[in-house]
Amino acid sequence: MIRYIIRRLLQAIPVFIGVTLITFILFFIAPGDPARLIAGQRADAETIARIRALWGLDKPLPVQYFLFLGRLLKLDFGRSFKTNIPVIQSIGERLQATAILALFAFIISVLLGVTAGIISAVKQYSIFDYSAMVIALLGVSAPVYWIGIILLLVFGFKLGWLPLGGYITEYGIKAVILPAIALGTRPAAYFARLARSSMLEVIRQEYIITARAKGLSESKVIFKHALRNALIPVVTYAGMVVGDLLTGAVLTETIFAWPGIGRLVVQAIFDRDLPVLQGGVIVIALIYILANLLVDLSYALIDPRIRYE
Amino acid sequence: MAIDIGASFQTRKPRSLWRVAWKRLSKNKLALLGLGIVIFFVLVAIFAPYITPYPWNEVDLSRALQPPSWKHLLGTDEFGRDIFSRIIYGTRVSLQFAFFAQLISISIGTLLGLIAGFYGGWIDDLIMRVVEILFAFPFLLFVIAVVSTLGTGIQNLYLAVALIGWAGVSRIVRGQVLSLRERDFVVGAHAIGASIWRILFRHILPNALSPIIIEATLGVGGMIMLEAGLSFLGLGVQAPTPSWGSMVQAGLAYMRSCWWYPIAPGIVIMIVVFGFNLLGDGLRDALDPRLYI
Amino acid sequence: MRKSYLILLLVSLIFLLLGSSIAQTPQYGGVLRRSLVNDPPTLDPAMITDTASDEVARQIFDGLVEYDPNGKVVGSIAKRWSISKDGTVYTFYLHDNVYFHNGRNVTAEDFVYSIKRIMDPKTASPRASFAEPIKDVVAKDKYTLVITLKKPFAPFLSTLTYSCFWVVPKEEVEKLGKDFATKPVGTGAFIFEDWKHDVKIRLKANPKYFRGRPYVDAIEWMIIPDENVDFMNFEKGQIDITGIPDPEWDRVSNDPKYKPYILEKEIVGIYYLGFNVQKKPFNNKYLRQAITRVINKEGIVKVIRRGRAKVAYTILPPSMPGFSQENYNWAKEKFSYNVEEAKKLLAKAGYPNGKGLPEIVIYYNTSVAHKRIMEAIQADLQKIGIKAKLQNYDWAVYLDLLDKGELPVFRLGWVADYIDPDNFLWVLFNSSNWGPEGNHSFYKNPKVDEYTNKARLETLWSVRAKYYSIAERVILEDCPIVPIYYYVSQVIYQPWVHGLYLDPLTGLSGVRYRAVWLSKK
Repeated sequence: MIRYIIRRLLQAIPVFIGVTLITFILFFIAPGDPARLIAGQRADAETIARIRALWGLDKPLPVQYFLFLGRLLKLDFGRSFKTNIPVIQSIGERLQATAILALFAFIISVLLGVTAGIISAVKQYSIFDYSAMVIALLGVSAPVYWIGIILLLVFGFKLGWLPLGGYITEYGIKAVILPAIALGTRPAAYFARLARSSMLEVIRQEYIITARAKGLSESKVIFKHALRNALIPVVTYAGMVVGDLLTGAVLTETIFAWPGIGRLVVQAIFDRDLPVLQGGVIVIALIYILANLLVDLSYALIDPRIRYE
Repeated sequence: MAIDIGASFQTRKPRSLWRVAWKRLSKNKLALLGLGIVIFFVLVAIFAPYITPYPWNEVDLSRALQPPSWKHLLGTDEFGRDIFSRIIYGTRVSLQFAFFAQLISISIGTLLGLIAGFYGGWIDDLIMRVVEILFAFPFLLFVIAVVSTLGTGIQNLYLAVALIGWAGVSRIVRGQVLSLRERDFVVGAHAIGASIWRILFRHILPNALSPIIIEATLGVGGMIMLEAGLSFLGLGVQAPTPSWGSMVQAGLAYMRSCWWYPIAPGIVIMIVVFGFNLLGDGLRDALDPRLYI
Repeated sequence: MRKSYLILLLVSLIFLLLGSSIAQTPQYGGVLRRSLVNDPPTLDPAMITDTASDEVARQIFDGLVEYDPNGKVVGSIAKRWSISKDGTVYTFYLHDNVYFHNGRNVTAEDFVYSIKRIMDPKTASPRASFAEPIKDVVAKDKYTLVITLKKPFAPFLSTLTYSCFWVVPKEEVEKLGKDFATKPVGTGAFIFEDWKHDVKIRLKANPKYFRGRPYVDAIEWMIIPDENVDFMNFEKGQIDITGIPDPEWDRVSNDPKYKPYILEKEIVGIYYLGFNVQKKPFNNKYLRQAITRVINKEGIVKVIRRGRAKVAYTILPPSMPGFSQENYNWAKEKFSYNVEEAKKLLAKAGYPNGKGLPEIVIYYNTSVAHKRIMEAIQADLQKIGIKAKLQNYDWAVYLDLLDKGELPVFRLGWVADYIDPDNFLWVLFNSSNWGPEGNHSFYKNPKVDEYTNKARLETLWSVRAKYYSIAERVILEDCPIVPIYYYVSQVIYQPWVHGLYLDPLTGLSGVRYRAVWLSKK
């Protein structure tokens, strides 16, 4: 098991290098000079040259890239071009916020989605099934920022129940509810459909039919036998959802003034803030890889047939 | 979607498969509803110029921001343009983008998936490594980076999608190819000396088609949402061309005084994406023999 | 007899009008809550180039001089100053009771350090060019500072109000290094307290401020990126002062609940459409004039901006000294919106009804607000047969392309760094400033060069004003840019906020909150 984990992590190294290389190339083929941006709308050539030199942007590109990789080995992400804050610190702060948001969105989507999906499957073709699936499908069909503004307008402004954006340090746990709902809607809908279809599949399999034939109560059949197996695809999707939640958070974080990593990285794109961009992309890739590793490991827990060599 | 990667294939003739699939689809009321929605909007897109009551770009500042009336069913925007007409014309813009973007990513993905799966070895390794990298690279951020740096506009959107959007499809197709490669009809074709491309396109591709179709249908909705998301950041289709996303974005600022302005295009997005998802789900049920209901 | 009644009536009317503000005496206490659309990049005065940083840092730092609410240069840490006859030696006499937030007394040496720090290439200050006219800066004694210029530079005193000249404590800058930007220590009315990035910045009152402690106990800036959400927060009373989104303007400004609490001030800036005059076909003066005439500025200001700006005909805004009413009237007469005249000019340019003119591209940097205006301009151009499409880039790319002269038609805004016509006419139109240094039109006219250069060296205001008016007239005739509107700044505040004013230069971001007090809490 541990050897498997180590092997998987080693396999991730080329992915990291690829991700940073793509970011780097994209950054330098794109027009726009970070030094020029720092200098402001009106700037003289000398000032721009000084700023370039300060950040090492005057060195040849391959040199810059290898210097970056070298620093990365020492876990030194550098400092933001724009704010001079160490990247690791900026990302650390934002990661916490994103993690809280993603966690709540994840919980909401699993609870809502899986429950609805299973009930739908058990009561296939019922009114509940149809309406749950229609709602689930509508949930994946609306732009998240559109839902976000409407939620804010209704629950924050008109009803005044929840804060109008902002972070938990300001408004406590109440602040996370609306953004988590906005962000969790799409995964909830996916989970619902996924849970339904895999549940339907499992219910038809022989061991379930046998269990029924043995005279076990319906609820016991569902919870003891079917659920466990039906959850496998849901767990698979959970790994992908992490990626979705991280990047889907870009827009949600902007609307809800949530200090997350998506907003940080998008701002870094606009600011040509390469160190922050690189750091952010690496961290998001790392989370994605870890999440998928976790998913693979959790198979073993759910499905005893799977073993790791 | 990951769970269907390994979908086993029944050794029916393709034609009968399609017939069976259609029969199943026609029994699925929700899927038919989806199909109906899709067809309706495709027709709207095709005939847009003939059914808009006003030209989509007719600016008249003196009639800006009027509420809905018989003259302007959904009111007018901040330039006095008829919102209803712009939504109709926007159908063309949004659907066109979604279709072509899907076409591009599906084509590239299918091609690379075929190659990776069929050749195996280092080619497969290379393509799959790139796929892994692209998977770890957040899609939306990548598109934002490409579009914001190269400039907004439909070509750059296509470029961004072409660069990264193919990863998921190629993985699915590769899985299909791997499961088909050792089948009799493929091995047989190989034995009689058929060219590799012929084998790929005549024998393997048709048999791998159903997951591609499902993925493509579900993906159209995703592309509409992508355009909408980019519009929110000002990176969508170039103004003044109306896309639903850019209309929602422009309208949100007027939410408090003219709520119909952002709500109308938003609802249209919901309905259309809903339609594609219903249809995609229906197709999955119909084409995936495992879920014979 | 009747006269005295009239006076009585007038006096009582004035009292009635002032009544509301006189009735209450300023109170101490409370937290003032503001919002910003983005986290300020830096609070180090040497590094600031944006308005968010400027607004926050302005509360923490002071300079030698500052603008009063009317745009007049007045003393800050310098209580008075004298300028030598030849205009090259400036002597500043400092207050002796100014202390940094770490408790140390501010002396002339601190200004020597702060100014030399900007000039030092190692600092890589983006505003190093502001110190370019300076030959030397020395502390004559503990509280006397002498700045010598290389040659006379008339706007120098105005430039000293700029953020890069604020005084910083050497020991803190050296101790904190790059972290000084996030843990600033200054002399100002407010002391930096806490900064949760992308969430909130908090400053607390400086009880030992040399001009007396500010009224409020603290200021908090919430970071709210979406302006619709920001305004909802204001309406819910979560924020005390904020701007008003254009789309909300009609509703808010007509609401009796809000109307008395809106402040409005013309600031020193213009929004304009520029041409690269070196690029075909825009090297054609008549084409530029035709476009100038067909842009319906009144329509843009009235409908798109909801009347929140002032239609511009000149380069210098009315609130800038040197603004020429004569030039304004002349340009209004010659270039106001007139489709028929525009058609004639277009024909004169050699493109009757747009024939022979290729489709042009209007560039703007990504923003909903700019998009609205560019769409309106595009529709206007169609009226005389000019086909145009729009293209936007993010600011980084936009600046890059502008610098390289690759954008033939573009939008830009210019807000003065300091209140002097030099900052507009020399910066934007002198041919020595082509590209990044401000002249993005790549405009060159010997007469404009001559007069804008002469005006820099001249010290007599009446002569300078004449030079500027001559130069401006030439520019207006050549149309390297189309002035669209002069910026007007509007803010809305809660009824419990008192003593708020708007800065003549930048509106809200230039306000010093030490004069503001709250009647609630």
